[in-house]
Amino acid sequence: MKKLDDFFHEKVLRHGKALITNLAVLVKMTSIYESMNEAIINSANRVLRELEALLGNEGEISLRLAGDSFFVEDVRIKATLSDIDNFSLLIKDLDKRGIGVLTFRTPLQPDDLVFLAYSIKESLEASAIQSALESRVMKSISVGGPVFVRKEEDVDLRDTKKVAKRAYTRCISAFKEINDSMKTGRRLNTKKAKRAVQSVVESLVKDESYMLGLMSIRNARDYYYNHSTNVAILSMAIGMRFGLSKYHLSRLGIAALFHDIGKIEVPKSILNKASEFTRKETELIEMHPVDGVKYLLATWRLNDISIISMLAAFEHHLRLDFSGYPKISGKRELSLFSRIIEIADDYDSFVSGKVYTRTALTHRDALRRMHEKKDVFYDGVLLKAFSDIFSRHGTVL
Amino acid sequence: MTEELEREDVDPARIALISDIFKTLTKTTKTFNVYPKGNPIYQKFALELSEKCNVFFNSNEDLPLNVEQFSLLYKGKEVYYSEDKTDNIALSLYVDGIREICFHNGISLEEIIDFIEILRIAPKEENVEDDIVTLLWEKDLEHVSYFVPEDIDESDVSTEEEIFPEEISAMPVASARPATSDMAVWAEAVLEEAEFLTADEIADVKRKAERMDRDYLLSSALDLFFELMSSERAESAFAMYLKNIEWVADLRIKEKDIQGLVDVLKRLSSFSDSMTNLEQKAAVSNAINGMGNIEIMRIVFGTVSDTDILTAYLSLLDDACTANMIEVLGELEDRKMRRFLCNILAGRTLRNMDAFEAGLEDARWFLVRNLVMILGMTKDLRAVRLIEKVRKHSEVRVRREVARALGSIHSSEAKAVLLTYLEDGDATVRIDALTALRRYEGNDLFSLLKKFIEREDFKEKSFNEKRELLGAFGEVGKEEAFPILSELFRRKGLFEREDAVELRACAAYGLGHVGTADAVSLLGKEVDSKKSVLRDACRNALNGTAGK
Repeated sequence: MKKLDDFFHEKVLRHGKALITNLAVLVKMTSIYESMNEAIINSANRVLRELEALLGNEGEISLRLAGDSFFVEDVRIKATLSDIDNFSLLIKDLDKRGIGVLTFRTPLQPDDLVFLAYSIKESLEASAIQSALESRVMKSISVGGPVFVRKEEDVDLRDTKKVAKRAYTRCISAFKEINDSMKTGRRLNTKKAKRAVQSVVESLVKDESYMLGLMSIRNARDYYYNHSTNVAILSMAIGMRFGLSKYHLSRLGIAALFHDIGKIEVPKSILNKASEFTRKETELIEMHPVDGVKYLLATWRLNDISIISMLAAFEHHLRLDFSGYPKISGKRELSLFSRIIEIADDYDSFVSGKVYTRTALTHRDALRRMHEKKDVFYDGVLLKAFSDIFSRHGTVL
Repeated sequence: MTEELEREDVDPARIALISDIFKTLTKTTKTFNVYPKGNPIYQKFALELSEKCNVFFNSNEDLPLNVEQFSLLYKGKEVYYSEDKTDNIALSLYVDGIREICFHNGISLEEIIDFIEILRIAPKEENVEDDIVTLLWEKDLEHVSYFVPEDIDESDVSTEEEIFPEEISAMPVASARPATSDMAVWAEAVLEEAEFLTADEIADVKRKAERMDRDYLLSSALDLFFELMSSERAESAFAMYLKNIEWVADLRIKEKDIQGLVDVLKRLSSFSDSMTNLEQKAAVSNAINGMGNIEIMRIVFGTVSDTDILTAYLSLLDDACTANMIEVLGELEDRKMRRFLCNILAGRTLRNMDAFEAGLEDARWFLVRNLVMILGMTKDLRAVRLIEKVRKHSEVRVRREVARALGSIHSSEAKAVLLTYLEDGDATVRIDALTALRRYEGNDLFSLLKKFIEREDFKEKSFNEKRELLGAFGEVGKEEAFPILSELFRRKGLFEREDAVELRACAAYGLGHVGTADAVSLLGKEVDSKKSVLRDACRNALNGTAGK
């Protein structure tokens, strides 16, 4: 399987659904029109447009059907209510003929797609279609049989540890997707992130220790995503100490996930550099709270959760005494979630040595350092709650 | 619940019962789309559904269902099927990834209502944020469970392999919470003294979380936007913050929260006052005036009758909105509101003559009349020029208002118009003009009035008009008017006909305005007249002179 880069992943999400819908329509039209009909040609052109957007320089792209899900390369393309009919139709057509994979290669012509559509309509099985394609000496499309997909049965939901790992991964994955969306200025779709955060909450409830312990794996080259996920986990763990409802915990988790979104424009070479930041680099990084709000405003409709996230993005470095950054015109009431996230953020930064300083502190030193600034930088009550986490799970953190 | 729900032989009666539950659920969902929560029909449908569920749960612990694209299956048997795109329970659950759902014994009416509301809200186009799974999860319904196979992409798998390259079997297992004495050891290692959350602290934080409702968050968002705007130099970013402030204001309007809208306006206005960047200041000003556009103004006036809120709202809008206020004035049906708005507009007139000029050309005579009245309230000479434009208005009531308005503005131009009104075709207009003219002096006026009195048609005029004419004559002429007025007063005639008595009464009115000793003496002679009209006129005239 091809390893997807961020931009390709984003492209697939953007064009994958249209590809499937248009292909379904093309196949459907073969039972109404002759192959030279203008409607058929137009329909084929629409499919080709989406394929060309995806093929790009790669030259080859696969559409796979596994179970009742489509994948473009490795990316699942989900139907919504408005396109479920076309998706179902194409699933039925392909399933009936045992087709699991359609591979498209450049150079691709509309005729090739028309031929494919009629072949699907007229043939009984995948091998017959493949033969038909080969007989045309067409190398731009090939057809494969059924595909095995990794099913849920592989992960036993009673295995809380595996579920926790999966939750952690989903958080990172969802956050990566959101970063990609933001870079291209697309409207945010937070459903995946919310589901990921929900699964983290469930894991925290079932096995808080293990879930927190996953934070200690700080081996990723690109720590930006891990850090955001760690802060989300830690923030929600703090929130749980106060008996916050699932509703509030998930909002806290989402806000924590997005708290550093303003770093999207900071070059990775700076974020991941091994040595300490220069003054200029520090100045650049200190713009991220304001940049975070700008990114969120540009891509996320204003609602409760986006506001909470914006507040967290802006406030999480302010400090209780406003000695942090960015500099503001006057004192303000810092939101509860911002104060929680600030604690989680600073702790993970201190112990990872990968965020703001390059020297990792021990957990105890980190906690001691934070307690020295109790009620100065950090809300004393919230710090107590955090200390409670440490006292219970210090060995795993 | 992840184990396959097996097919088994099921009592047809049970299938029928479950099918009926879902038929009722469908009907109830449609009803909820129409009626609000408190409505009796809403409650009735919800209760009916709850009762049917109770019948089922009287002899069953659970209602587990497989979810397919268009159907719900109970132990392999179809209990619901629909191919509709909307209000389709199965399709809604299926599209959001739910493959199994189970309702448990003990499900309450509130949970049923919550579940239906989730089904209703989730598929809506405007809801791009929360799918059914998220809404169910957040609601955390005790007696509803569901299964969603994980959305695991291969990219997720590769991420997992990257993060966790080997099985973390060596993960340290956290100890159970140490006993109190151990806690002290733990704490001592890190903290100077062990600290525990108190019940009050926990409750306080929970309260703070609960407090983060929509209003609180919108207010916080506004704080944030204003903070950011105060230091933002980039035009596009500034515009973005401002746009979002406008969005908040729009939301307030949609929710008919006019006080909320006023609060936003106040903040914008105060912010604008402190701004030095002219371009940004103009942008803010535009935003403020945008909140005074005609549609919004209509909503505001249609929603509140509290004049304090309305005053606050209107006072924050600048002159660009005056035309809209005039338009709304033409639409208001409530007299008190019209009066209120007229008073507000009176304060804006002189800065917005253009808007008033345009308004005076409106086809609605009642609006024109109100505008004339407002212009008159200014008592400003500049208003005369505009009032004059409608002196020949076809509607009598407008011309009367012109007379009244000009009466409060003392100028030669106003006088000239009033004089032309003495020849107006309508008596009420002539009377109003006369009333207004009483404040003026000058031989020309006196001569003109004398001419009217001496005309043949003078006697044909109405009592009121004669009275006003003679009153103005007396007021303007004073001693000069006395001879004619006294002569009219004395003119009894042989039979003391009614018209003669009326004329004498009108003359008495004029004598009252003359106010000299002779006039008073003359009036005194008829204070006890048997003719009530005359008697009352003399007494009123004398009372008037007593005040002088």
